[in-house]
Amino acid sequence: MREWLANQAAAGYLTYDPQTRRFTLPAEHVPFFADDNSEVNMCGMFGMGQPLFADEPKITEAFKTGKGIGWEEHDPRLYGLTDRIFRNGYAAHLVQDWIPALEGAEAKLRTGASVADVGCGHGSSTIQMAKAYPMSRFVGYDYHLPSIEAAREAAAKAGLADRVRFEVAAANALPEKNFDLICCFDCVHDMGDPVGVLAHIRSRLKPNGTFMMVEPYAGDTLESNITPVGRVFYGASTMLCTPASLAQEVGLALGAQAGEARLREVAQQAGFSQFRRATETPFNLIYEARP
Amino acid sequence: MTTTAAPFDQAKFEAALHRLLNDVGSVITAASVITGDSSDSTKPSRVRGL
Repeated sequence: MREWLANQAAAGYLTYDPQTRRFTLPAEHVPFFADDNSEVNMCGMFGMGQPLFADEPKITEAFKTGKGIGWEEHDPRLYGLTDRIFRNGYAAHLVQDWIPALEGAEAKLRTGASVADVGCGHGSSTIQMAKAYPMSRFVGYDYHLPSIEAAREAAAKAGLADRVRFEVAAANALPEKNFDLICCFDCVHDMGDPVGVLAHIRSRLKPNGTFMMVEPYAGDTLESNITPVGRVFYGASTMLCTPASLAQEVGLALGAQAGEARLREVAQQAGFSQFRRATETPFNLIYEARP
Repeated sequence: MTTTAAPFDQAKFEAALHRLLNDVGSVITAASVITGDSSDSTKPSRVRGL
């Protein structure tokens, strides 16, 4: 324990008082290390090193073959960590800022809408929306069965199993249609065929429905993404997102820093008639597209 | 170890946030750097010595 504390103090995460020989977690550092609900909790990000280092041989091999690595092929710690990294940001913004920024979507959700969350992972985004809009029905889709099982368990734990369903389905093969709102959270850039998926999503919306696409914050040029946040996203994109896309059909490999101009192009190629940046945070861009 | 009851200092919080983003960026980038380790002859030539 002494060595652990000394390590954290030397890193600047704890302070050390040589007079009292006491270590202290400063109040300003509590949100990063000791608040599991904090939007800026960093433990999940640090933890991401575990699956990335464990999967390094696979990733190196993928550089050699160019075949990519499916999302389902990674160290199993990846999936819970991914949920942990994103869920607090969604809890801070999804219902409060992002849905209200979409034209007319919030009113539909309050009175009763049909919503799909495509690429839902462990279902945190789906469950947060279901809690906020009790008159609406929600279904989360993901092709990764262990993630769907985790999402079902989370919905049951939240007492929402009667209003939220989670189903195994690929993003380009949704088994239902006529949705008022379809969402994709931080996953479109991981897909092999984003144009095909968005075209399919468009076909699954009502004529006046809304597609909300949440993607990592990014500028349109590499040089505009050479920032601390861009460094994190490019790292994850190199090791996870781009290999995931390359492992699927088409293998477009958008990368996690695609930027608005490129994503607008994808949406337009998919047939969406309207596309705009609805809002943003320091970590995400939120786009609205209409059929 | 204790936590402080001192008033929350926003400037300290923002400085720590910047620092931590760099730290987690280092962790993730380290994994990426290893794929291009120039001293490891088992690496494919296309990524060696990035």
